[in-house]
Amino acid sequence: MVIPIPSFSFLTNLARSTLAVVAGGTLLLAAGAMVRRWHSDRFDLRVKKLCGDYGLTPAGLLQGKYSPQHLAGLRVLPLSTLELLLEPLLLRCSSAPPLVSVLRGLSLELGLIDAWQRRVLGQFPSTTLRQALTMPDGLLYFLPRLRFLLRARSARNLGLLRHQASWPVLARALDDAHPDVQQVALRSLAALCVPESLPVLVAQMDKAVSARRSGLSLHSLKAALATFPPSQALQLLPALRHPDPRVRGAAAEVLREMAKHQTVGFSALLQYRAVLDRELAALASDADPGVRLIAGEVIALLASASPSSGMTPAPEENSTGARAGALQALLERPKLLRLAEIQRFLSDPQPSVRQAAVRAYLAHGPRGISRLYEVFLKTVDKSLRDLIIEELDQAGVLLSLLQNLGDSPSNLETQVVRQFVSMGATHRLKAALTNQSGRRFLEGLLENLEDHCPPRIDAWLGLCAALSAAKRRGPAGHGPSSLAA
Amino acid sequence: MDIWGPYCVHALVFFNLLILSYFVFGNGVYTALMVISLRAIWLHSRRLAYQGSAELRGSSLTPAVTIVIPAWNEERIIVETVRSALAVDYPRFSVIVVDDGSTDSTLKRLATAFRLTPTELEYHPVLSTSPPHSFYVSLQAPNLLVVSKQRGGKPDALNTGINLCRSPYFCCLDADCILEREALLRLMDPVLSSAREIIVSGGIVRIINGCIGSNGEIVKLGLPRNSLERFQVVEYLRSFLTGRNGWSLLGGTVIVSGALALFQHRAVMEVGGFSADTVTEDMDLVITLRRWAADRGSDAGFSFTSDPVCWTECPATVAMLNRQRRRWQLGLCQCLRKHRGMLFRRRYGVVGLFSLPFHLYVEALGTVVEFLGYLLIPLSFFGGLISAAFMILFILLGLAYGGFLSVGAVLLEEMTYRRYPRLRDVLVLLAYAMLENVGYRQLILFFRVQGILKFLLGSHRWEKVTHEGQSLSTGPTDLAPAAAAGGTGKAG
Repeated sequence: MVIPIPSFSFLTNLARSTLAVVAGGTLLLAAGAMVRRWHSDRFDLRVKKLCGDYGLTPAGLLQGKYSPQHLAGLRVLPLSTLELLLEPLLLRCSSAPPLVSVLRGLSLELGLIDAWQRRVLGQFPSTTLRQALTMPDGLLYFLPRLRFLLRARSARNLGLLRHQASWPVLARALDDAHPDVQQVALRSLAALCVPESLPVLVAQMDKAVSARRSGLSLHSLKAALATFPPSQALQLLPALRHPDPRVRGAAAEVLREMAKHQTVGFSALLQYRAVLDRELAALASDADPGVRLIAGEVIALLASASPSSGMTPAPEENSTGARAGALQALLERPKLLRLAEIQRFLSDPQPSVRQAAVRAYLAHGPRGISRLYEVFLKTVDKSLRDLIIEELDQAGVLLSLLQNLGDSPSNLETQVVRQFVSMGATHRLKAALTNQSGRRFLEGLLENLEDHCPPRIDAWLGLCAALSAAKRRGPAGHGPSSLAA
Repeated sequence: MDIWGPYCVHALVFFNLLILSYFVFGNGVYTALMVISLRAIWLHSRRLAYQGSAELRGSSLTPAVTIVIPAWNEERIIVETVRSALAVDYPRFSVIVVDDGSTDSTLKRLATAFRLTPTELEYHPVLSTSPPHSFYVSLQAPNLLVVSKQRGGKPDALNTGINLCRSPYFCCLDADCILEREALLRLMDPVLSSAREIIVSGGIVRIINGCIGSNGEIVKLGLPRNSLERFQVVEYLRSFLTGRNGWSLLGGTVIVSGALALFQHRAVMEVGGFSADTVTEDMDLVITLRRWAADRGSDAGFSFTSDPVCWTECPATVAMLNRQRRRWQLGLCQCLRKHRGMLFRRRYGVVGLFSLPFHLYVEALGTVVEFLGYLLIPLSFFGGLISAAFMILFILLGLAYGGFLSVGAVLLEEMTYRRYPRLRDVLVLLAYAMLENVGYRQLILFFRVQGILKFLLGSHRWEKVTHEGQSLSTGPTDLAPAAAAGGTGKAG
């Protein structure tokens, strides 16, 4: 039998050519790396020298050594070179605030502000390839796809220099096609803090959560809005009343940050107290637990600023301010309050206060959890029971509740589980048993069942009997049946 | 020809064609990744000029992050690692060190350096772990919590930290890594600025050997003196700047180094945390999260940024390098087997259709093909199946192409970050990039084949790599500034 051996002559030629190309390419890349290093070092030195020649050093600018001759010299330089010289100074603006006004004046004189504004709006002069190759960052001007880098950098410069009059340009850039430009414009608007721009940002929140047209994240918008002075708080009202809980929560967070950090303008926030109280009271009873909690915190912060409220109010006090002060204490330092003190907040009309009180119990560890179980068993308030179940679930306590079941009917955990069963909340227990720890616990329990019947198994059998009885009586929610399944 | 028999000849011809296809496909993809990365890194370095780390730093709305450091017998470096973690520039963070039953003085060193004192803590494990037996807080750094537990392995230690984490995001940091001050800000930047939900954000790992560190910071950058370590510097550059960047841009990231990775707490809890099913728990978790997101129809994103850096010590001896690479290869094979249901499935997008098949074909099976190639190509020549010219050219081409990719990675580094300050360093890196494929590559291949054999034999052992710890000097314990920067108390 003759085996046809393929001829490798074609492949040999191909390999030879490829080898030549690869070897050449490798040498080219290596040379590129070396040239790049050499060029960068030289370029840095040149920029440094030019800056020195034109007096563009931070010390020189701040000491007023800047001369008309320098200005005349700079005026003849092309825009891209000017930007290159100013770039290191612009980056120092945040660490050297006095530089801002000097650089702003200089940029206005040189026409840079105007150029940046036009660029942010997408207006670029036409550039030929030859021109592009002779100027710094020339390719960015020549290739439209890369112009977003220039737009973003220009938007950043307007923000760094706090050029207030540029806010409409930046507001328009929030709808730029590139998310980078949107982000930078947003940060610049936050830096400018022009009151007229705030409604634009509030409108962007709506886009960010619902329409998905925005490249801006809700977090970025929140962070930007939080930099505005409290005197602008009322402009947040549309967001506080927004149908989406994420926007309501975000607006409440912004309000909280305004209250927390802007001590100078805090009185401004307090002057709208009546309006804000009304809105916050609505948010404190919001369907969304996250919104409730944040609203509670804002109420607490506002209350702590008024002279009548304190951190731990007297028992007879029941004003909104006092409760809010207590809430703040519960949230920030739960262990400072005794358990007996916390209990009275469980019956507070404000859901956010009740929620904070439950969390404070949990923060007290095993003793607090036992007391919370007792409250859970004794209370007839269904909303409080639901709240406790929700918080126990979130704190990851449900598995330890099941692990501590005892054979005696008086065992606290057993009673709590029976209460869960009667409330039809067993789906939460099921969820706790189906996570990794829960599965391991169940496996251990089954192993025990094979050997002997310890008290805990007895308790489980009792619980199963209760479940069966509940199932025979009829469905209560989806709990018993799901656990039995 | 008679001595071979027709079947042997057929097999050899088939194998030669397989090698050829592996060579063309593997190198083609690597080249494409390099080109993509070149553009992406160039753009990223331009974008750095206007990125908003300062805004994140200044905003009280920036979410808290917990840095989880699992440690087992890391007495030589743990103090420096924790110091670097406590010194990060981030508005609200806490550090949880999980001592996974160390038998050396890891815990003792921590106790001395950070003035630890025992505390009581409620531990409600949602993720199943071996039980912790003691908790310690630091009198010096209020945002440091140390947990001591029975030995349960790295995934178990990480899960313990995740159970204790109270922040929406956590960052895994290996106990032998030094975190750069801005790393956490840079990892969080894409998470917070993206309109999409980002559940994993990874950074790059660089090699600390040859650098000088003090008090948890790198004070002088340089290249190591040992050739084995220098080869690894080039290899890490290629892997992180070219490979991972490229995959990230294509939306096919399946590997995020566990040495430095940020995860969304809720998502990780949902998938059951780190799994001990494989010895590369980081890769396993990322693929699991990919699967989880796709199965839920979520558009959750995975981000990779090439400048948040953590510095790690690479193995300085052949024996330790062997252990490390064996484990990596074993873990890759285990992950591919575990997630084989994602292979070639449209619902998993780029990961299912391209990234995982590539890892299977080139990174896993390709290792065997390449190894056998070194044996069978000369055999084919002696059997008269290929000409001497073709054999030599093919081997040379393989070596040259490897050099091309490595030199490309050095160029990428030069075009962007230029971490190594001296021109001499660049020359050394270029020389090692060209030499890497003669000797070092074959050594690594040999280790990887061992990893595959271990996989086939069903091994599941996590082989620890011990380090010299010479790059880092333990300076005086001065944590006051770090603690002040740390802000709010423990566990975020």
